[in-house]
Amino acid sequence: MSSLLSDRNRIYGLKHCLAPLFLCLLTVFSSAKAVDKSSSIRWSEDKTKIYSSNFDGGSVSIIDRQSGKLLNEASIGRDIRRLAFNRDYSRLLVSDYLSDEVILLDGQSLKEIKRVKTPARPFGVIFDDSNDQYYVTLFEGNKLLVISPEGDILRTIDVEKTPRGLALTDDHRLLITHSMNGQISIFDVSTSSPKLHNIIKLVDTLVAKRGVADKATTPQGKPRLLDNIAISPDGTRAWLPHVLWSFSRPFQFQSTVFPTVSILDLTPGKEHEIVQERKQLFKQISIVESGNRTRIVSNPHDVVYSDDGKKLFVSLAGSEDLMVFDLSRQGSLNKKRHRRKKFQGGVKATQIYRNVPGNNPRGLLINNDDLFVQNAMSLNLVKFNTGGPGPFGKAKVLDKDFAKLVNKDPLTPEVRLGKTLFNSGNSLDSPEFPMAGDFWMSCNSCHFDGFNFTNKQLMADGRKDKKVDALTGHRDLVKMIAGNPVGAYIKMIQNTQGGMGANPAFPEVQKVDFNNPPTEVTRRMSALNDYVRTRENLPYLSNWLRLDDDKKFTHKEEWLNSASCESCHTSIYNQWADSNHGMNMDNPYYRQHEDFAAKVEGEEFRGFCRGCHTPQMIINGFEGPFKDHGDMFEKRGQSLLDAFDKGETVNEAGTGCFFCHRVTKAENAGGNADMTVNLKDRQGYIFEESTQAVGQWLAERQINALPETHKESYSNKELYNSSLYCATCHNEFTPGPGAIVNDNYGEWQKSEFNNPKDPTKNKTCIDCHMTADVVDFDNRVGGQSTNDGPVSKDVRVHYFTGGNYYFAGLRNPEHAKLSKDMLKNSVALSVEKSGNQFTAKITNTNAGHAMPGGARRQVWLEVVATDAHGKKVFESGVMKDGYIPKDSRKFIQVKVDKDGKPVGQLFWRYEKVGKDTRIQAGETRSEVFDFPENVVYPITVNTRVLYQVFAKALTEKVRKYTPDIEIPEPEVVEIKKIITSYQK
Amino acid sequence: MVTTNDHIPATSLQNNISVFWHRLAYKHKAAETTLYLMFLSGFLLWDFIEASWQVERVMLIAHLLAGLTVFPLIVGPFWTSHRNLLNRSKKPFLRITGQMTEWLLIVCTLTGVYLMFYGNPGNLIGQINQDVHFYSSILLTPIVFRHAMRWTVLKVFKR
Repeated sequence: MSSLLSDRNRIYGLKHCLAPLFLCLLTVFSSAKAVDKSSSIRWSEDKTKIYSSNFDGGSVSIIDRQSGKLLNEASIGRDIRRLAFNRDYSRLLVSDYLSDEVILLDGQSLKEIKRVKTPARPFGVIFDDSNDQYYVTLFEGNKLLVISPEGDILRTIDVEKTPRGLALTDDHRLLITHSMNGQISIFDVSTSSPKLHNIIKLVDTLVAKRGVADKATTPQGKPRLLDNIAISPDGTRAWLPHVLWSFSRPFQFQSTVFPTVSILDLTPGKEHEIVQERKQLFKQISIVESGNRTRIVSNPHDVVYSDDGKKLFVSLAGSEDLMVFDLSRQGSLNKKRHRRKKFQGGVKATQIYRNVPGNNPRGLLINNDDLFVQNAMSLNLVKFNTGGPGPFGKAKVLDKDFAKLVNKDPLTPEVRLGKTLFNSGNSLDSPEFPMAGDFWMSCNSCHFDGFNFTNKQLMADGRKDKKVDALTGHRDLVKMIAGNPVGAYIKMIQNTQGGMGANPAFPEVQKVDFNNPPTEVTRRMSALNDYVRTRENLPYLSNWLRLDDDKKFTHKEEWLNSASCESCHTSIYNQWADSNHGMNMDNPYYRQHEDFAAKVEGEEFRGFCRGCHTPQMIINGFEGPFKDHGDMFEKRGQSLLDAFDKGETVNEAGTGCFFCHRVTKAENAGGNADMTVNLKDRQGYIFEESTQAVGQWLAERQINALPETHKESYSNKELYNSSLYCATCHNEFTPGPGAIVNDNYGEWQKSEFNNPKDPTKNKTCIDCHMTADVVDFDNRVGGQSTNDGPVSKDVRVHYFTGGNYYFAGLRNPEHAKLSKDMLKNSVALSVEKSGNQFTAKITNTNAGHAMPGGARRQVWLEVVATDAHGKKVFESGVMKDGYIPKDSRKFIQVKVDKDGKPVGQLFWRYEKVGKDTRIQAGETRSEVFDFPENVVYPITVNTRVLYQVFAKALTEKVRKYTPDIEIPEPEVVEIKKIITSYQK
Repeated sequence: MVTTNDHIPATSLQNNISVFWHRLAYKHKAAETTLYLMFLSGFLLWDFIEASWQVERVMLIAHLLAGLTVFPLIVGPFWTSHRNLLNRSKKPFLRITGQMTEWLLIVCTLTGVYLMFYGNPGNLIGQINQDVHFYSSILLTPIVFRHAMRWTVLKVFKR
């Protein structure tokens, strides 16, 4: 049917010759169940009941259509997003977004039949009648699941990134929206095995209009936050509500996020976006209010056609509106009537129903003149009358609180308020203290579904020339949020969303003083902070660490002392204990810096550092400064061993065995400890956590007798082999401003070491940093990780060898040697001389990321030339009293504030990169030196590449800070040296 | 097979011990039960069974503790006394199954002791011990059952 209708020639013929017949056919076919889309709200088979997936209400409900009575509710999870019936409506499959599960329910009783674990964040669900199977998108997992009506996963298909919404055409095409990259995949589902047929990339208007991005005057932006799809009753078009992100310049609330509905032509084989018909603000979404202001809307979410196909309703989840498009004049029929130069499809918004009752309208359900709006935050249904078929009929509310979706909201009132504020761009919700200046946007317009992996896309889209502006997020933060969340949120809302009285177009709304907010604002911002700190967001605020548990904090008794692993994994323990990942990351250098951060930004900001340096202490709720100095000289983690012998529990200051081996997920949000730790679901042995010698002995006996379960509980090879795991801490960004501090992962991704298609060349982090041979990474060294255990061909040692030879070397010379060997193998050096010009070429051959990789490392060139008499005639980079001269050729990144002044230790406040002379992976840097002319030849040139882990100035600062500790001078390591002689 | 020991006089401590020892040879129920329970708890640890970890962890500690305490206290003395009967028995079937039981018991016990103290961390000797322990127990249990069928605690073929 769809292919028939989409054939333009035939339609043309039909229109002119068989118009009455065509209209009859259209009426008949459009009323059939020709297409379907993934939805959060559905009709029962006879349309007498409404089925609702209740988002964070965690349940599925059945509502009586006439009375609005809640007939049944099944609480089944944490965040139920979409639901779909099977062919005979006997089964209902729902997605639980936060629990990573799909759940099969009985279609009538809602009794749970099956629960299926899926990869990350299942979202869209749809049932394919013709193939008798469900399709489920995995938003974070980048997969499409094919699931049988019985709930078994039949196929897992790799798809483009961030698949979310789903729709089926009646000619067996499956449309998938890719939320964060503006794409739509079209799969052929004519057989039970979906095959990719086409990918449509929605036009990035910034690039399309100017050829380049970053034009301050250009509105619109990158298509983002795609989700729902509505296919026209005749199957020829698809409507896609979404937003456009325009982050190429500093945030300004009226030109950052734009509501849009894109339209696809679904002609089979020729699917494409009809760019000129895109419905966007100021054009087709433009209804003038009193005062001659355009009525602004935000966060378009769901879209449905009226039964006759002549109207289209769009929910606006941010501004909390309902938008109506009149389609009666759409398409080529009216083309000649348009006088404007630019054809826009004849479809314009004819009504924006402002301020839909309730909070956060999302799902839409329509039948005849009844339209139901599902509010995700107030968890209720609003009943509308569509206004009938005519173009002048207006939608109006029939019952503003038609039905309650849940009996009991599982969220606390504070978190519910906070989450509602997070999702609200409705300036009328609280006219005195609006979240948005003029309905422009909500926090959710950028922080999609809260704080998660989409943060990476946010930072990528906001990236500009780092030497001009390194920030991708909020500017001028109050106390880096953590130090004063209430004040910080107010200022962010003012600067980004124009809320809290910051919109100059509304002078009647008084601007809130973020230093002295009214009580009501404090209450609201505290609630917002409660939501931001929920389990699925940022529970510890300044870092992205998460505990997979209902509780926020653990007790140290719940953790196993790393020393408990020593008896069976002796080598691994010893390697780890003296390494930089081992005990005592809380060293004087760290302590000085953390205390400085706390002094400047507030105590809570310590969490920014501790997420990676002392994660166990964060999760145990340890607050305030460290009482005892971390002993950076302690060998073999002796304090851990002693505590274990005495049966004492410990708060490990480092990344211990139990922590790292119980990380279950790396989020890919950009770093800052964006990982999830799960302590509760491991399969523990009886007495495993005993602090008594007998219990420990029995636990050890059990583990040795049946080690497989132990191994499974503490091993996640797929995660460990992924560089993303290491990126959780070795990538770092400023929390709030979103400026990249450290990007080892990104640098590696661009390097030749990232070559997944050729396993012989591909090297992930552990292939270099956890291998026994740090000079030849291709030499796989065998060994045992367990005493008397199996011999692995490629044992993963736990020296964590890197550029920091200093701390590890204080404890163990073996570690220092490995580090220096690795450094010496990281670059190549060659020299040449032409006339008086001497050139040293340094190539980053083996680092796999920028050289140096760490922010505090110093790498520089030292060149000393002596004449025939041994007299020094030239020098560069020769240290004076431990300091490197300023005119030396250093390979370094200097971060500066907005005025260009180096920020030094205040790196989280940097706004741009003043200088970046680091050598990227594979790059060759040529440094040219002009030698004096009048020298006695032959001359001898001694060229060295030198490396020092900490600058003398920093060491002096730490010495001053901790006068009771003798801080050794960090050694200067010669990583390359060439001596050459030249005749004139 | 001798079914009574009333002919043995019990007049001194030594005699008392001797009587106890001879009587013990016929008190098989505790030892047989222990053996079956040891087998059951060990069998549930087998991967093939796919018991839930909550069951497995209890079975594991039970198997281990029973192997440390009940087994040496009950099975050891019983078998030591019982093997005298074995040598004197005129029934070839009981002699043969008894000898088989004895050898399998020795093998299973020794490998069990090894697994108790050294475990199977993944090296060859650990793997061999685990396999031998498993297969010897698989053979041992039905042989013991058959050997003691007439008097078995399971009383499957009770007359």
